[in-house]
Amino acid sequence: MLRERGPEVALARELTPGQKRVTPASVVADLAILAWFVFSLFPLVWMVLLALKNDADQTSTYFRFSPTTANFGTVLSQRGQDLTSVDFGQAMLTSVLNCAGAVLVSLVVGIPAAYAAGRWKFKGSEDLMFQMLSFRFAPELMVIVPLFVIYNTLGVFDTKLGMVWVLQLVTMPLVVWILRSYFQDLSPELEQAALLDGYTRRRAFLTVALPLVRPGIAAAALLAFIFAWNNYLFPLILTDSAATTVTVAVTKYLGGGGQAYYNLTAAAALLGALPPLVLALTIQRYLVRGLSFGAVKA
Amino acid sequence: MSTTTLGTTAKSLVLESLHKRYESRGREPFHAVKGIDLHIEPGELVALLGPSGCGKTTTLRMIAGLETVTSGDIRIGDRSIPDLPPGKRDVGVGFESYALYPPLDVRGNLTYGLRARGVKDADTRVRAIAERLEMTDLLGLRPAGLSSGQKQRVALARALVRNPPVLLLDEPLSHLDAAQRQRVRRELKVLQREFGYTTIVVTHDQLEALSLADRLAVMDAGIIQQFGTADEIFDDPANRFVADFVGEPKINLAEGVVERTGVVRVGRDGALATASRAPAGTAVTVGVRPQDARVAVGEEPSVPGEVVVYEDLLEFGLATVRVEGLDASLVVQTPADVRWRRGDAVRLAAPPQRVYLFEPEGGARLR
Amino acid sequence: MASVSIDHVSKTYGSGSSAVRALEDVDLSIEDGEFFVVLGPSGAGKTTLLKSVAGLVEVEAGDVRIDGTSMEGVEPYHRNVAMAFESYALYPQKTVFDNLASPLRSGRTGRYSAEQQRQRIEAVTTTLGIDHLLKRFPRELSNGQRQRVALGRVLVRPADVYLLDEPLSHLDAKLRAAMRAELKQLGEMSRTTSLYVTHDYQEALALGDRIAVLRSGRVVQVGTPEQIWREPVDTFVAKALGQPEINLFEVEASGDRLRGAGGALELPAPAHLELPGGRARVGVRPRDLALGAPGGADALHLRGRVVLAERLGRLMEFSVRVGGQDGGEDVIVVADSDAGAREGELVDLHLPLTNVHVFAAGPAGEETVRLGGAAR
Repeated sequence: MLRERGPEVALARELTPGQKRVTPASVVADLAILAWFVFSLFPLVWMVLLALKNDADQTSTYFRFSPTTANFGTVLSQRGQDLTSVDFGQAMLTSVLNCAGAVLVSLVVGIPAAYAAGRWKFKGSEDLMFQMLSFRFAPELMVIVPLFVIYNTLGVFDTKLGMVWVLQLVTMPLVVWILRSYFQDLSPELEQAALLDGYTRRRAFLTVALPLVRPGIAAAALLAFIFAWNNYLFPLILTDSAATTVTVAVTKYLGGGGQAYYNLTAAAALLGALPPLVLALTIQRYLVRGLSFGAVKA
Repeated sequence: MSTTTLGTTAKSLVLESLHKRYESRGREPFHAVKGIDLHIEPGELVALLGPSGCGKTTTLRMIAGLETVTSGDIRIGDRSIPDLPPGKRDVGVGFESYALYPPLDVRGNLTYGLRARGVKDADTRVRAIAERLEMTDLLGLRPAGLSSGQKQRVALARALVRNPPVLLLDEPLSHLDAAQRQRVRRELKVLQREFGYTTIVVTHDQLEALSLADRLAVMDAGIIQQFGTADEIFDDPANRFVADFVGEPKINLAEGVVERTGVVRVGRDGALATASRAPAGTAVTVGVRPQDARVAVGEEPSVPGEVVVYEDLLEFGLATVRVEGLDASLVVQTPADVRWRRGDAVRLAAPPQRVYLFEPEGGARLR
Repeated sequence: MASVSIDHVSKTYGSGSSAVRALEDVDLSIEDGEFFVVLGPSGAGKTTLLKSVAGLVEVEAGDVRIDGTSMEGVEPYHRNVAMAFESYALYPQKTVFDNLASPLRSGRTGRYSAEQQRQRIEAVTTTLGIDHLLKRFPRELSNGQRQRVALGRVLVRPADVYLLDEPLSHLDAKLRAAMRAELKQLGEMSRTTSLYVTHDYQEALALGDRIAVLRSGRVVQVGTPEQIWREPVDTFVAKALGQPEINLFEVEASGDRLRGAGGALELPAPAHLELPGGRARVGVRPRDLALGAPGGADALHLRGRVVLAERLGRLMEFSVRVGGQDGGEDVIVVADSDAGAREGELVDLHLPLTNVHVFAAGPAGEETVRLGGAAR
């Protein structure tokens, strides 16, 4: 009986289901996870290394590594512009403006749309939502040629306005679909309570519903920004030089002038990845859901 | 239906100075069960009653083998079981959440455990138990298609079908509505008697425990506060916790001082006769159940008050009475043929043996 | 303050094959200052009824009038009604104080200076015993406290009508009893017209000036607690009130007696009632039955064996098997714990005919109307 065995034995028996045991199967599983981890991170590591290599090392078949940060300077300098005929800093700025514009349009139009879609069912409301999502199914290539013609005719080719307009097509469905589920999770009785407190529907929406989906808005805006930022095909075809974006600018180092600068490409790509990364880190804390906890019964 | 497929040889269940401590690195050890001694007779139905966190479910899980024992012993008959895996302990368990296997139909749910043990006459047994519980028409259905009352029945059938000498039920009635609960409660008790399982029911519902159990163990803070029959628990509570936890509406508790042995002062100018022998001058907490309070007759010691709320429930009435010098109002249950009104002045008394005195600190009963 | 009249209101959710009839021709009139309770099981349409009065659901037929004025097309914020939701619906991003101040700040319930707001909130929270919680957020409160805040948001403002949706349903039994008494006191003090929805018959009896029993969207009976209790209109209403449920027996006339339960039950046939086919259902409440020696000739008699004696606090609940071992029925009797009957004993049960309800006979599982009492 246990009593006679003393406290050490009693402690050893504390192992309950859910606690970790080391078994051959668990070792295999851990190794598999490790392998996947290496596989998925390797391209990133390669990129960082490449961006830090000088011109001589980058094409060598042996691993030679004498790190330099000169590539970043080159990309942002006049020399970079000479090599590619694109001002990389300007392209960054354009990208930020394009994406911010697209996200802004999506939020201003999308939040009320998501609220309406989440709160009211009407004939065809589901079809409408599905149609909006279906913009995301079709390959962009399918519409790019007519868009090119339309943009030329309207005179918005190679303008920021044109880019905001086309990127908004990418971000709007995202914003509406994400926020709709946030609004649906919110008890309609909160707004009903506000109505009975004497507030109009508009004020009930603005003062009760909207503050409660703030985390959702942050998450949707961030995702939309990243999707817009990463878009390549639209700026490639619909811009030339005045409104060109980071994604296009990066690829210019891969042979625009006849020679491919792999190390400069890598450096440009890393620089181009910075803004979304910084943005994600700054608004991370708003992404935590749970503000609405305690509003309605558990 | 034959008794060879249903029913069991009842065995006693003994818990001896049972402890459970949860220890994990970097955290305060948590002593959930602090030495429980319980001797349950063969075929007896015992309720473990207490608020959430009192250790009742942990105790049940230790008996079932779902939780290790820190120290102490559990015996079924004369067999010590803490070292046995759950499947070899001769206990049937009915979980609060039913824990039915969703992909299997009811028949599958019932035979699953039997087949795992290689029982030969599984189908015969399932049919017998289904007939007894009047659920043969459910056998082909999946759990998802059942009402909560039916799920409850299936979960019970699954615990019973193995004919365990010891049956453990965790909050068996908690998911049923009031009318169903009454019916299933009676049914459960009849079945348990018929088959003779030694049974432990864990519950936080005092009415359920009082009505269902042969004896109750009222638990709080990992300790059994009182173990006894429903009559003993209700009419002769061991301490303030038991008096307060058992009974609805809640017992009235008020500060008082013993005036002379047999009479206790309550409020500014009230007094009650009590059977307690506590000496004069003792500061006490006085407890009187709403059902025991009544209008005073003649010159007997009484507590004057004013009715502030009277709820007529037709089968009985509930009066909330404000007493000068007491923080909380007193609740009095009146019989059906008595009607009070708001604003009525009343003088309250209670049978002396039903006026309980407790120590203000700790709450031990002063007899 | 105002009267409320609900005129032939119907409401259906969804359409086509998935349509659910929530309210069917509901016709109620609630007087100025009345505390009116709607009692019904879940899914009976109680919440829809409240929300129709509040203007939160649009009725498809009929009209709601408050103080005689039709509410058709009137927005919720113009109706001057206050509602406590079953889900509490407290604003999670606001403190208790700001939750309570919300109706005072909208400008539609009157104009209040910051000082007046504070005074009103203080008065209400003191009454409800939550004045120490003003700076907390809803997530930091227990269910009982949230309940009180939700109630406070109703009481803090002047309103023509209070709408209360199961305000005690998430509380445990003991807290519920205490809160019920508090509500009764508040109701008696404020005398604001109130519409109170619940599934708990004790709440209905304790609080209601009048009660409407709702079943599947229809009003089955309206009356004072006394009327509903003594003269339930059918077996559904009789079963909805009382715990344990009323005992029902199928009986048949033989001569001038009614007999049922295999002969174990008998009573004089009520001469003032017409029993179609000589058959009826007899309803007997568990608390009305008395254990002991048989009463006089003009009483209902039952004889049977106690199969189960269960303690319910101060009371005992006996299951008595009447009408033999096979085909017998169980009668539930509630008596004081010193009634002294033991399991296995044969007992006599009786009650005066004035407490015996006679319902029409009908197929098993079907509710039937009450014909009258067994005594006039």
